[in-house]
Amino acid sequence: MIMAIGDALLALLLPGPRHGYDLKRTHDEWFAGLRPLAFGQVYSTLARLQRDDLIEIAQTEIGDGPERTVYELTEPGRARARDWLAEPIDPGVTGGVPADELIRKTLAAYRLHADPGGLMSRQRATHLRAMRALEPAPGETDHSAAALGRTGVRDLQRLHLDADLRWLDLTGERIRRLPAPEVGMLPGAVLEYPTTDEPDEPDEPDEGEDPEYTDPNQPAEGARS
Amino acid sequence: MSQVGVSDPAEPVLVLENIQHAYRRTIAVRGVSLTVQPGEILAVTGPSGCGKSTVLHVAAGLIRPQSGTVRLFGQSLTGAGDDERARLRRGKLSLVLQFGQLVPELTGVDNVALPLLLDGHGPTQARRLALGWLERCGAQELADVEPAEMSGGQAQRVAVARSLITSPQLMLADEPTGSLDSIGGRELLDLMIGEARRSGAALIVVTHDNSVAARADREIRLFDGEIASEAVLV
Repeated sequence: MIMAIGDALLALLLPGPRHGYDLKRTHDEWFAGLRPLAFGQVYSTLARLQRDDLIEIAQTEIGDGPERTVYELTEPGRARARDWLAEPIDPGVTGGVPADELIRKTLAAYRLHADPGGLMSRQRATHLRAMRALEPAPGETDHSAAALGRTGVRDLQRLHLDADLRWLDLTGERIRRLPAPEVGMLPGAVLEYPTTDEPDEPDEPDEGEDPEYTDPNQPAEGARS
Repeated sequence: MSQVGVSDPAEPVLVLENIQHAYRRTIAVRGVSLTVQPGEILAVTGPSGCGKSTVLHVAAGLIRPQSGTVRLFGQSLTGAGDDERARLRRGKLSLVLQFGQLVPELTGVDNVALPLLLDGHGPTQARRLALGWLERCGAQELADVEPAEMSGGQAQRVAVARSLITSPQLMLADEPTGSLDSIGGRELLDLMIGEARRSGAALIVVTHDNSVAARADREIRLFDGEIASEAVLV
């Protein structure tokens, strides 16, 4: 689970350097149905990502509020983030596919223009193969009570995978009905993925919800008092 | 049983090239190309209205596409007359549609025997073989039952028995099993896949059911009349 959050934070850093609060805020906005990240969780994950040379400190801002560290991806971190956005989740892991991971990865691919359709197709193929692996072998059609323990478990696993596939279909349909997202929601878009015909325009500076923090790209004196 | 002509094993059983077809002003299929090899099990999936049934009907020669070419068992259906198309299909291609499509005036066994009777077999032999196939499909009790008295699942069993009796080289099925969450539906699919594996026939199954798609060797997913993705599952 911790690694999943690490991967999501790396993806959130793809468009450009950000500080911890910004990462939390964007995470909680993009994945609003999931549990919001705790600050402690964000900072401990960032510390671990930094230790593993996946992110580094871009600058330290000292304004009126507390000191803020702005992080950016290292090359290995950038590669890992792109891999994470491109690679489907292996449903073979014990306990099935973590729902939070499936949601974060799919929606992040959409938000970051990282070919969400391609990711969903690959995820579908991966899921179908996993469903196939849960099918009984040819001729293995034992309907006895003794076999129920095994078939019952397989049925449950298979139907969970089916539920994931239906979610992917529905989410794909929702995404197709939406306009392409503005990567400019994040400052300094740097993704090379194909985007819409119009160049991204940087968003208006956010009216910070928390007066303690401001957009790192804005001068500190822009903070509301 | 009729001796079907054996095609070159290296030759695809079906090749669709750039098929386009519209119903009135609605384009159902736009530029679909696909190739099916002997023995291959292909699932064609996608949301309602994506064109998957149209593709199947084009493959079966039931719909003449507005553009594109269809090659069945190495021969072009494009430009072939109705008799020629029927001759190409007979005995080599079977079709199971969503609602069974049994002849309402005939009993279960006579429905199953029908392709053999049309092929010139004697009625006694045809009925004997038909009873055998009904039994393999777990539908022997339906031999003397007329379609109006059958449930949807029972009619599908009879339709599958009828589709298998000619040992086709290409089996086409449109949502053949209802829900595969039922044991009966799973058994019916097992039977079709088992027969395809045993005889080396290709099977194209149109389905919205992920459990069915997962049993195929390859999945082609349509969206809005076009192939949106393709996945090899074996």
